Amino acid sequence: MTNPRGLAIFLAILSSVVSSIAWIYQGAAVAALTPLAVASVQEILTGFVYLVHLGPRALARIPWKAIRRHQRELAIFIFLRCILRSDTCKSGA
Amino acid sequence: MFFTKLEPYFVIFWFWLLRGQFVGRYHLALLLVHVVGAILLSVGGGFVVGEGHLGDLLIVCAIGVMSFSQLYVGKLSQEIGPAHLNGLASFISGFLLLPLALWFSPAETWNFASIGWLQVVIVVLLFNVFSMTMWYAAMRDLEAWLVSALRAVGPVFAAPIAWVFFNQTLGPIQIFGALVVLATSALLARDQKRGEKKTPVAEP
Repeated sequence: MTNPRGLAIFLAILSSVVSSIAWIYQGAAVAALTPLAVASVQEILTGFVYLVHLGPRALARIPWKAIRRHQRELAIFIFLRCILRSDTCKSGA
Repeated sequence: MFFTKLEPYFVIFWFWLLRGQFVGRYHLALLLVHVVGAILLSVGGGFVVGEGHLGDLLIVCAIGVMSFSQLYVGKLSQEIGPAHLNGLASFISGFLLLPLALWFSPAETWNFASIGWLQVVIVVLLFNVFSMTMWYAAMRDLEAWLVSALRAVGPVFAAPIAWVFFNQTLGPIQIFGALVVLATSALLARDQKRGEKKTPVAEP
């Protein structure tokens, strides 16, 4: 696992295992609520968890220079992510 | 759900169309066997055509969008970092979706005592925090199509958990599909782990 590509393969597989378990719970949540409500609150909570994880100096730690350099790519990625989240939650319903 | 297994092909298509990158024939063939195994694992031979067309269409759209977004994830993950990328993108997209959610959801949805909200918290921790960060981290050192392909392995390892907690078992065809997925994943991973020598995505 010292090989970075070996570690990346391990992470990809572990990510898949965890997401498979999460999908079971997502189906139940969408059935109890609505797809859009689940998608939006899920995303906001995720961002909040990351800010808490990064600590009180979270804003200072965010690499603003890199973000400014790639703001176009980031905007497209966020737009696609919005579509993806609402779409997958809707199909899960 | 078998459409979701075609994601690696969507990724290869977008990278070929927009970046001019292609995948070698050996890996395309191996990927085909891998995807067939993933489909068998997912549906267990119960192919039903004509039911839930809207759901199928939405899944195809979602997979198309997901694979397209991978054009940007690798580069952004390298520059910004997987944790920052996931956190920022989530926070902003959540607030963009919130007005739509408030408009289209009935008032009783926002009763936070509902069990559904507890399940949302569990999904956030499992999927959005742990799984997505590991996925983005993996994309720093691997090709996007391979990360997509390796995601088919997840249900194989989740099967014992589904059996213990939800009493769900795999049929004989699904077990065969699981073995195919494991074998082809091992072959794909072996080639990648050996280094750049046989890297399948290359400039033409």
